[in-house]
Amino acid sequence: MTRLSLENAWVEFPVNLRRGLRSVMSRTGGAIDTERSVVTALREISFELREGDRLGLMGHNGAGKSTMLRLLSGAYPPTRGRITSVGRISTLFNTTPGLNPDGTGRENLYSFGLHMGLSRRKILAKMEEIIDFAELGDYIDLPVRIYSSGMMTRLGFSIATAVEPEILLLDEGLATGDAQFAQKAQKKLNDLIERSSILVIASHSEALLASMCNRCLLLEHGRVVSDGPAQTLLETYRASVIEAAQADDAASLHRAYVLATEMARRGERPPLELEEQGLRYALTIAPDDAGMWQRYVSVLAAQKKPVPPQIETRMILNVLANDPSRTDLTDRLRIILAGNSGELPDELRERAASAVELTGV
Amino acid sequence: MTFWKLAAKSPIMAEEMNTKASTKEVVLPSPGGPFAVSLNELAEAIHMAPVWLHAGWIDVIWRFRRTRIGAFWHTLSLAAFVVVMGVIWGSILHQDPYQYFRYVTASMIVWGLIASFITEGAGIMVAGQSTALSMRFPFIAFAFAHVWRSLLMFCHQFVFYIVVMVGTWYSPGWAVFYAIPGLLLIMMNGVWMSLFIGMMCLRVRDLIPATASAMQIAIFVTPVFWPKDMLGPNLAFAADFNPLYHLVRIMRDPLLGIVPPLVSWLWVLATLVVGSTITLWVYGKQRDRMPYWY
Repeated sequence: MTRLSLENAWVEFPVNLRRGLRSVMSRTGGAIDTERSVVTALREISFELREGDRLGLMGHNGAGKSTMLRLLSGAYPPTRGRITSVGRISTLFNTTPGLNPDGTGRENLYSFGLHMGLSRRKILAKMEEIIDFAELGDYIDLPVRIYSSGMMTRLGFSIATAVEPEILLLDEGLATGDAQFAQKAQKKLNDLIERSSILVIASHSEALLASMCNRCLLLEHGRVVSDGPAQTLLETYRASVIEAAQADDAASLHRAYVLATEMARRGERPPLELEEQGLRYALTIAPDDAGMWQRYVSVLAAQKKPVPPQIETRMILNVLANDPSRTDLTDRLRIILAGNSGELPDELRERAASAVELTGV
Repeated sequence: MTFWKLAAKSPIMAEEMNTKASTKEVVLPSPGGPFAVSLNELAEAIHMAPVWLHAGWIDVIWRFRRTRIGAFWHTLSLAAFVVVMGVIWGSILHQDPYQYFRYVTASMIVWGLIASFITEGAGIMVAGQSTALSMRFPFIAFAFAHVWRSLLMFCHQFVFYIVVMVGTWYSPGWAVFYAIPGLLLIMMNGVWMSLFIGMMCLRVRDLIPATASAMQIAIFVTPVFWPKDMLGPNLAFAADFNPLYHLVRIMRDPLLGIVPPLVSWLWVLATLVVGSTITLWVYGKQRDRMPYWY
């Protein structure tokens, strides 16, 4: 009976800390304990997985997803608490057991297979199939050190999925392959998931998790903040992204942007607040996009938020740049300039003024 | 429970046994005292023989892949060393040149084997990072792989020993067979030595250059390319109490046709027992902390 259970497990890294480092909460990573000189990567983790469970791990960078996979694989024994596993484990992390850059692809496949517990006979029997799947052609007999990172992914993926494990632990990064391979990988993965009894996958891609998992854990600073079916958790995750982005720093706005575009690509409508945050990020990259400015203002308006004159002016200027005949907009600009032009930065006020003059009198 | 029964219960690498392995429960942190933990891992490592036998062997190939004469470079450098030493030191130390050639050759190949456990053993755990952080791996297997790799390198150098013996037309006689138990004991000592040094160096990285310097000094302190008699009666204890000297002796003496004295065998056995006990205790105590040292 395949099983994986954690009882109050902690992962704490010993670190050398300089004196004088103050305990400041960082946006990413676990808590830094200056007194005991440890970084708590995961704390008080308890859950149990049984046959048929597909668990997704979600969370921001440094939330503890990869550490959690290493904990589950047995590579990191918990510093407190306990983990019990029954079943053959296969992993696909950014580290590969037995990898040597001077070896050829074929030799590394062999050595990896041995580490994964395959017998010599079985490896040789599967070798051609693996090589075919990886589509590396003649590269398979060249040293791995000359491989591109995409080729490495192909190699790693092909072997990790060839072992037919009972417990499969995957770190995202399947995305590094090109589209065609990613599709092939997805198909192979689905096959494998059907055969393996427990799957744990860490990913930033909501779509992937929603389609594959029946349970999700949301991690934040090394804690499980929520645990439940994928769909509920996705909502919690969205909420946490939106909340984080309210701090208005570039990194969390970027996360909001990624989330919003991902939802849009799937045909879902992102919540207005998320869309607003995503647009704010996008506008820092493309400040001259009139369409985006218009959408931004209407998103603000739809949320019944006040539209600051600065934003409105920028939008109007960008629209006018495309279509100078919009007299309604020049009128509006005139009103802004007459009213609270003191709130505008000088540069913007000048541009607005010249735009008004241009369409003139 | 005996050692071999433990071995039979550990996760098994052969495919036929996979069904059995899947029913085994693995609990972490490992339950039991330090010796229970380390003996369990030892059994597991022995079971993983295909993994480390392949790793040690392919490592020799990989290391010399981009050279023309490969691992024989070590043989060549040994030959150069022996020729230079034989000519110059032979006359400085007033030794019979032929006998001195044989002495230095046998000494140096045995010393090279022992020294590789220590100098190269320093890096075995650090180098295993990629494996150690991807799966539950018995680190003792790193030591096995290393000892096996050192043995393969030793075989390359052994060719030169045969060349010298034939070249100087000298037969060591039946005493040479003592070299077989000698080699076995050296390798068994090599496992704990490389494991111990490897663990220490993983935790305290400063020890990696430190062991290299220590071994450079050790080669001059240990009677390797000078005969022990030259120490004189007052300094003889410097060799008598040097475990490396006895370790060298149990293999070098038979290669030169001399039966090693009982005291050397006892020294080597004592080193093995004491060293292995300490290593297994430290290993068992720290096993579950080690991945955090990377």
